[in-house]
Amino acid sequence: MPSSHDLTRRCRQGVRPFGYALYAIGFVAFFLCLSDLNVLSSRLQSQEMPLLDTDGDNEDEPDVGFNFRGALPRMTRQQIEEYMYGSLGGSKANFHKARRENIRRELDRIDSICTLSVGQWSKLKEAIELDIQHMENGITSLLSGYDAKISPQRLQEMQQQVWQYASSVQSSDRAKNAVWSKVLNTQLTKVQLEMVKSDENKKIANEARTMRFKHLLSLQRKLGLNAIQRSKIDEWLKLEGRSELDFLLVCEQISQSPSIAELLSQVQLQSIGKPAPANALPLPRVLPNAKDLFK
Amino acid sequence: MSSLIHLVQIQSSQLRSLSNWVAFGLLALFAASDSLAQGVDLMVDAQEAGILPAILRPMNSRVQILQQTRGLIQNELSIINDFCGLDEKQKQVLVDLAESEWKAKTNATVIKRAQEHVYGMVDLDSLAERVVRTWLEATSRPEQLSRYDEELADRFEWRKKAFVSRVLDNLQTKLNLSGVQMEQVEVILMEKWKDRWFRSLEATFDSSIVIAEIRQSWINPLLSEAQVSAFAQRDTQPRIVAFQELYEAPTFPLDERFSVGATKSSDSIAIESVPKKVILGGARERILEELKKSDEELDGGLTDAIKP
Repeated sequence: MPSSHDLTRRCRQGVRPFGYALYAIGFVAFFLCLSDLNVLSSRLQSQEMPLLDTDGDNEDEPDVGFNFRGALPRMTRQQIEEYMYGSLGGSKANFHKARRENIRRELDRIDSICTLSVGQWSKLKEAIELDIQHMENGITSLLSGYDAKISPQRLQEMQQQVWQYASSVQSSDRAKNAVWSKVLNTQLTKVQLEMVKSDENKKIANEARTMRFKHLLSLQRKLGLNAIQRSKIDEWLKLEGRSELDFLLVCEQISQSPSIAELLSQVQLQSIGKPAPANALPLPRVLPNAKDLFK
Repeated sequence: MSSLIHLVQIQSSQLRSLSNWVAFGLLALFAASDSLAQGVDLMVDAQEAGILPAILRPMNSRVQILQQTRGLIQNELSIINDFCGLDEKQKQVLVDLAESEWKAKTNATVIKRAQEHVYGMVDLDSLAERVVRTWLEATSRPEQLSRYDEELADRFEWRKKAFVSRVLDNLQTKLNLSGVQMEQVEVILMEKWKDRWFRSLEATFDSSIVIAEIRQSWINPLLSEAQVSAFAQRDTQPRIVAFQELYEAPTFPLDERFSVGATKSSDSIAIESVPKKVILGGARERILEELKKSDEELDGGLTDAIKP
């Protein structure tokens, strides 16, 4: 075992080259930073990124041209709108196209289940356009507070709101409240609605089955189950939405279920409630050499 | 290094500043890596000398992985004890073999697979099953081995069903499949099944990569135009940066002996609380080559030194 004196000596040897390297890197970083600021500033001035106030309307504003805190240049209302749509799908047209295709896939599914009539399709196509217009209005409304003097924080908040709005509209939960969805519900006959509901149940059943298998495989790994145990536990998981439970709850309920507990060995029963090992593990002596990874 | 420079060059002009800082960080890491390695070495010494406070002890995912893999192996040994009908002598030979092979080879294989840059190839469940089967083959009669094979085959059927179900779930989210379409796709997936699809619980349930191998030509005839268009748009695969631990894997201490029933491995076989030094690092190709070699070894049998 090394003495404390020995350790101190080795510590100094280890730290010294690291310190020299840091000094050298600090110098290099300082000059890199300076050169970058110059390059960025000159690029902004050469109109590569959108600038504001070229007509000189807002003379009171400092002529910064780049907002370091928000990492966004100051833009006109139109530019910020394009920027937002750019981050949502490349461009406004692409965003609309993606939205239209999303809805179309859902309607194709309905069509394959209960065959929509020409009249129903016609109404739904109008609803899709209305829906897209509705969404665009929502984004426009969120951006209505934008002006050239907006603070970087407020701009970021606005970005966030647009993102949240777009993603919530696109998610399937919100789709139930979408214009096209409402029109669909009014257009479908009772028989068609039942067929759609029945198909929805198949989808839900597959989701439950996936979760059931995941729990089963997790239990397999945790306990080392045999074929009989797997089969019985699968039957147990099928009952009353147990597959939807969190895995820890599944473990707890299994250990308390007499029909399952009698199938498991004592070791397996202990393993279900076994706590994770304490975080006091020894460190390996050898680290991977970062240089080798890039050879 | 050339790949690094290339990385810096391809950044857009707006991100140039950021890329320089990234390059700077990497250069700093390169410059400091030797010193860091020394520092870690010192920390180990300090820890062994008992002068490192407990709060500073870092989590060691490699040891965690080793413990978890030992847990998986111990589970397999318990199943063998329940189903294969080994006599006491066979049990002793098996458990001694397991302990020796773990020390000689298996733990190093696990460490190689648990490195971050080979994530995606990690399937420690299958590794545990394969090594245990090899050990059992060397110590049991054919009828005893066939019982274990039946168990493995049944287990794999469940994995297959789990994988297909998960793929259907992902496709449903991506393409809005109808119930009938899901049934048709399920039949196709079962027909086209490839064993490599289910690599591990993590690879299947934790990643959208599970639909990456489904060919368009298989399912396009079943899809509408909008679905075909959506299926053609492949999602970018997020790179998982670290392999920390397995889901819900049992842990079995490194200094506890394997057992088959009540039979533990012989005291004459030394066991270690700290894994032996394993050389890590190296180019990805080299690691892959080593993994391939270790796969062949696993399939080929035991190390010559310990072969009974």
